[in-house]
Amino acid sequence: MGDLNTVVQSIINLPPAVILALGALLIPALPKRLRSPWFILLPVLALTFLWFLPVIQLSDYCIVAWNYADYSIMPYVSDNLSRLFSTAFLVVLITGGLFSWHNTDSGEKIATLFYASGAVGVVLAGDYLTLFIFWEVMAIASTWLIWGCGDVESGDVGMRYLLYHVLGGGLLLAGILVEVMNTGSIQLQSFAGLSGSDLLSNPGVLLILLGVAVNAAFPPFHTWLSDAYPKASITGAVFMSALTTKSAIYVLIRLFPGMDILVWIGLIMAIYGTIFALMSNDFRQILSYSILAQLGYMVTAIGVGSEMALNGATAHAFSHILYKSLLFMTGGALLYSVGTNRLSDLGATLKEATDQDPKFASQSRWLFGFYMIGALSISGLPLLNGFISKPMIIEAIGEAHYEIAMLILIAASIGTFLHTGLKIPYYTWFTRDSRSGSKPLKQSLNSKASFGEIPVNMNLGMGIGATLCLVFGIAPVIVYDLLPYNVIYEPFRAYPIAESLLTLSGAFFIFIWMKSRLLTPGVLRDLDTPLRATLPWIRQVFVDFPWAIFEKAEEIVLAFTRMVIKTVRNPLAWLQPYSSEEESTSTHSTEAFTPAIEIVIGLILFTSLVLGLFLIF
Amino acid sequence: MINASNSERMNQSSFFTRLPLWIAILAAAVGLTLEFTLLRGYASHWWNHVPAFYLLYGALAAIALLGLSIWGSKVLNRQEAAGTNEKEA
Repeated sequence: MGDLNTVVQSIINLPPAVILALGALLIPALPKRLRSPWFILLPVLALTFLWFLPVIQLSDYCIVAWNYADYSIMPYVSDNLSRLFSTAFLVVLITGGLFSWHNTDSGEKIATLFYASGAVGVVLAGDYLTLFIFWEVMAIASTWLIWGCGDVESGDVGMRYLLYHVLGGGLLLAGILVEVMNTGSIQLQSFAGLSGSDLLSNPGVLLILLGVAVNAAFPPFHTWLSDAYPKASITGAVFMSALTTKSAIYVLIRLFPGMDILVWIGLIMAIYGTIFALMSNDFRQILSYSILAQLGYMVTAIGVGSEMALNGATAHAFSHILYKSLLFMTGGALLYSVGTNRLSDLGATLKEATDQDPKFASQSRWLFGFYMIGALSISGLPLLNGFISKPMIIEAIGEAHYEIAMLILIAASIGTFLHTGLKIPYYTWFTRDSRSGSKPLKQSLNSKASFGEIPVNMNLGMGIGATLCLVFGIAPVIVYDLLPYNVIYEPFRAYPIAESLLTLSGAFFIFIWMKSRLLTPGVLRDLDTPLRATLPWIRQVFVDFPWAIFEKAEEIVLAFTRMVIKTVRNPLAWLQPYSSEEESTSTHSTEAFTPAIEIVIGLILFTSLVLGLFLIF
Repeated sequence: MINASNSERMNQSSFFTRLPLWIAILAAAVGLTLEFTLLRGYASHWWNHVPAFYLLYGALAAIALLGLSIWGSKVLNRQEAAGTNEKEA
């Protein structure tokens, strides 16, 4: 009976991350038609386990724990912070699963489930060991989503992405080891109270922060984000936009609340991401830089570290996961249906599409509607879910007397409205003659697909995503009740509403004035340009040069081996002055004379000499 | 069968293209009304004393950001390699 209880307890306390990972392993065994339902069933099951089943907990915080050596491993902990993040991850897995229902490729589904398993595992980890394992699972699985495209470019991009995350993982592991050596504990402990100037005297903390900084896309480590997300597969980008950076934000909230240096890093991220998004010509790259800007809000709030700021960072991460995945879904649907994400091509391509397929005009309107709900959410318009978190962060920063930071973040918010709320829709749906002329349209289109064939499941995924943005925007209390700190915040007040309406309308009037000058076709250079330029040199020094040495050494060894084999394979040949091969060509010539005869003559002379000496003496 | 009227209907409808402008004007009016009625006398920061500060700030920040991005894209954009295929498999 006791054993049965233990088994039951183990099952009901199964970590959601394990459910996803085990479910992923079963996918290859399933028939194709069952893979998509199974993919959606798993996060539903994980959500059920997360919210309803862990009734037997070791403590309010810890659900599952083991002792190993002197360490307590806690693979499953749960509080408001971790529950809210993992809920957002699992909800995106459901909406993204619907969006990708038509895609029955088992490899991509397995990679996605392992990726989500890694992200959920990170936010439910109570110790460094579990955190690091899931961190690496996330890095490897997400790389497969980039490689999933199968073309040469995504292969290169995936390799760069992997290199960044290997670097981040290495820094994190090094930091963890130093911290465990210093404290003797592997449990996650907040470094609250440490300031930026304390980092140099705490190398373990510094290394952990640097490791997390790679995933949180702190400049200059951010280039993997704008490099990889636009090149990820259509469905993969939806999940990537939600998981990697937000799990890093969770770790920052958990470990580094109130670290002052994060305020300034966050502000740099917000402005940098905004300006680069305004410069980009690629739909999904703009959204990627926009992620960087939104992360800047969260990082700034974490740096402020007050209860309201941390609530704001958590709520903003939750909102961002929902509206950003919706935006990436619309970008993916456009790419799927018309074959391009370049703003300089989209206007004309959509025109051609609507001309060729009458149904597409209606579908394009639906896409526009879904997109605008996400775009206005991220811009912080009242009654949409961006509004429930962005003003909370700005107000918390103001309460902490960072007035310059407040104004910078408001400017970043204006920039977000300009690139995501105005530039993308203007050049996609309202401009019809913006072709870059860089290549014929037909080359950029999938010749098999007729325009307008956006599968129903894609529309359903986008529809649910848009509905969630509206629901949480209208009823923010659903999210507020789940936030980590009990702080009362009312978003629907005159001040934040007036601030939002006035800043956005002011920006709109300027956009109308300057809109025709905002498109520069081409590829945007970022901070990784020098790195990419030096990569061939690095490759020559660290790969090609050692490889050339190994090849030369191999040649020498092979030549020596050949010589030895040739020499010793028939020792009797030594005694024969003329080889049989040479006899056939040049009999008795001096060239055919082998040194073996010299050795024999030498031996005879030596023996004669020794015998002569022996006889004399 | 090419149906040019679909794109033209969506493209050239004056209501559809002008609607955002009217919405923006309405939003600015609502914001200013709130500022000069419910928020009259409210000041938690120095800029709250400047009338219509957020409308001006929105416009000025937009000019600065768009100006920076126009200049930056001239400096940082490079020609795209020919034959790049965007479409995923």
